Amino acid sequence: MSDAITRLIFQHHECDDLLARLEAAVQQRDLYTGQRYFHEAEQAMLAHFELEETVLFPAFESATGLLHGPTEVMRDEHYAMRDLLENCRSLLLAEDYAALQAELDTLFIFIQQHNAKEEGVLYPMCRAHIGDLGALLAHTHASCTT
Amino acid sequence: MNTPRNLAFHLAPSPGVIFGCLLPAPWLGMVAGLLLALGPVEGLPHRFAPLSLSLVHVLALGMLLPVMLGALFQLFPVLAGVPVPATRWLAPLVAPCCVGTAGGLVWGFLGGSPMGFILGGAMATIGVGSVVIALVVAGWQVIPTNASTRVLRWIAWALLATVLLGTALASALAYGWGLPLKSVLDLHVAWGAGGWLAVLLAGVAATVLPMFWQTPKLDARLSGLLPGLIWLPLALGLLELAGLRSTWRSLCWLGLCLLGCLLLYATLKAKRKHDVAWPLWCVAALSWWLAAVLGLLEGVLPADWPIAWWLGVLILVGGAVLPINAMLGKIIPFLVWLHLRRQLPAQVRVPAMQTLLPPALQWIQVMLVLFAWLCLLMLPIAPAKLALPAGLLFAVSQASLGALLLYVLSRYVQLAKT
Repeated sequence: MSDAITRLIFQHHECDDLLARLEAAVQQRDLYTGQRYFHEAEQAMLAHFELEETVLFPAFESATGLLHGPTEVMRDEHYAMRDLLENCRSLLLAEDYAALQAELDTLFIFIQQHNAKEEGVLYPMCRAHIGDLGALLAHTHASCTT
Repeated sequence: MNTPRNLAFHLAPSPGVIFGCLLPAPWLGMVAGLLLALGPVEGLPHRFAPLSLSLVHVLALGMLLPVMLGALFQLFPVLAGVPVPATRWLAPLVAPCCVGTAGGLVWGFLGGSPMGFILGGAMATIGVGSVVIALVVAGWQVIPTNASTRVLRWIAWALLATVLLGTALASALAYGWGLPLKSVLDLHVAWGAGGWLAVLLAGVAATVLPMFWQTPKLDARLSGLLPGLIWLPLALGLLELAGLRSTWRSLCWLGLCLLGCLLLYATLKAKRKHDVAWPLWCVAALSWWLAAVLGLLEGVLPADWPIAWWLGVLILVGGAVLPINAMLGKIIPFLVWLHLRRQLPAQVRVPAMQTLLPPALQWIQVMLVLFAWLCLLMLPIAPAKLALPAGLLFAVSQASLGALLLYVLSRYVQLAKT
């Protein structure tokens, strides 16, 4: 697996870790910590979606000509995750911990199956079809972290 | 350059196809429990008691096999990007063929009828055999990238070996064929429990445990051991049919012991221990480890200990029913949630999975099945007295799971109509 793909997978793990911390805080009814982890998880996830949607997916589509293939499925799932994040935000503000826990559980499982597809199928396809993937993502990673 | 494969939902079978394989499982588990509670207890807990043989086949063929095949229909496209050929036609046949095979064998074991074995053997060869061929074809196209995809690539061969050896045994019982029964039986059990069940569960666990329970991922070097760790000793065992003796049984138990240790380590390190299904995986890992230790020590343990019964309960109930209960409680609500998301208008909020299947109700089911596992292990203390409560408890635990899953589906129907 190329370094660029490894970094994308690492971002998945970072988001998982933040969500697990968020879930733990919600279970403890710790609003302050929960809000902090929610903010971090949301930022990390949205930045990752943006990187994929604006750089990786267009490069894949242009390299393969597949406009309505895997990237369309992934975009749709990003949309669903944004919705779930929005729901979580409202529930956190309302301090409805039970409903928030249920929503986080759904978000977590949805993310996991999404990541499994990206890591198992889409990323290897990107590696095989996008010529300068490392350079392409390196540039954007640098701008994301600044 | 290879043509890019498409992804997941375009290839994955419809939820209805998967539900058809998964949803009957708890009810078949209930039948197994009732069979133990109400069946003839003579000979229990001996492994060759007609009731023991019947229970093993109802659980392994009637309950577990359809779930595992249904999971493969879903896993091939999702994890490997390869659909199983003819899923649409084969999937509806899976549960009836597996139940028919189990039913035929129960008829043979309990009724002593050769016709039962003929029926069971024929259904296994034609029905299960057709699915095995489709899985072999799909497996051939899988590019192995990790433990799960490596298992997907080869797993059908283990099922093929189990079915062929089982059909040979059924034919020997039906027609009195002269076979080296001890070797064929040992290999049938070893390929079924180790080569198929343990390897598939380990392959699936390597993906689902980190996904749903946030356990550490299997180290790449260790994952490279799958499935060879179990299959090499089993392949060595096949040479026994040609009269070549080896230590394949001990090697196989050692492999299972290592798998049990890894599974136990992973579950104990899970970050999402608060999930209600987490204890099921812990006990499943413990069961595999205990079974392997018992198998290794069998030769030095007292001959009157009910080792075979304990192995059966640890492997089939602890090692397979428990994780499958855990997975059904996740997969069915998740598929329903996905389906609702696609069906409901964009402005309608889809209820969370835990709203569809409340954790409090699931917790009761988890406790019931764990208590049933314990009672089944204790059955040899007083088989005649404990068969009824242990069987009933297991039946209730599985019926309650079946009812919960039907409740999830009824919520789906209700919500889809709104």
